[in-house]
Amino acid sequence: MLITEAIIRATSFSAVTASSAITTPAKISTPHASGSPGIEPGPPAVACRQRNGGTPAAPADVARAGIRYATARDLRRAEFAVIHTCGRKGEQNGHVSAVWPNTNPLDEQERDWPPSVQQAFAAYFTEQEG
Amino acid sequence: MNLDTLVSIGQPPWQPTPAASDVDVWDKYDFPICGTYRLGDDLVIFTVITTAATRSLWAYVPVPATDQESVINAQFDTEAEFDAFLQDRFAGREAVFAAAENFIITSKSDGIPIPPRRNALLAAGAKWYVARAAALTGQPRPKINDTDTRTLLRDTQGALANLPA
Repeated sequence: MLITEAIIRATSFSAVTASSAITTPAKISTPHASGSPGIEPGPPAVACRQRNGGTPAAPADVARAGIRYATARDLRRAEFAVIHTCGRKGEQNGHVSAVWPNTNPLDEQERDWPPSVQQAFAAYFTEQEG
Repeated sequence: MNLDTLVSIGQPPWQPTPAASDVDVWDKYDFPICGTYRLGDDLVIFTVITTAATRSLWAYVPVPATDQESVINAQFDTEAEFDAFLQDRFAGREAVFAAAENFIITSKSDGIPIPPRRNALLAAGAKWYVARAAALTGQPRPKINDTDTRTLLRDTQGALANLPA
């Protein structure tokens, strides 16, 4: 499973939290998510749309957004739990959460990761694109 | 219920008052986007309306006691079902709006009636935000064009980005 993570620059959102904003790419091919009709939006636009409650994000926010990728397999090897957290939008909602530690991820989630865990998490993502 | 108790300045939008309990997040991406919380026996729905840069606009509505069970147990197969259900919860009711900077609430509205029509929540939130900003700055109120969803959303995001929260 490929994981994408939207990073909105110039905001306070941390890319490294107990339940980072990561999602499967299932919706990346969603057409007409933003921009002009007929133009396929790029992954940042799709990720920004999800982050905006399902409606297109402000163009300036999309322009500032970056995206990077990791796989669930790599994160699990690094002793993170990767769990499907679709919420109420149904199982087709591809949102997943990376949880540390991985011992009891549904019930015990550390909100503040030690620096070494933050670094390990970040190391499994690609360079930021966009 | 007293709508003035739903939201407090200085709180995160998804924990909008220190008295809020049992926060149930329905959707999240980086932050809780939509869900419910309890204020005593009352159940309140919260949802983000839109964001722009570091600012975000939120809406809150109490759930009538007779509808609480259906809201608590609601499950959806598609995002469209989810959106329609949410829209119905606000339609024809009074909502409270809040604006946040870096996810801390900086201002809130009184109760504002939400007509039962498409985009009514977005339009009402946008109009509250620009009216409030105009009152604060003494500047003319920017026009919010609600003739179509895309224009309304663009105008709302523009107001949010350019007017003080």
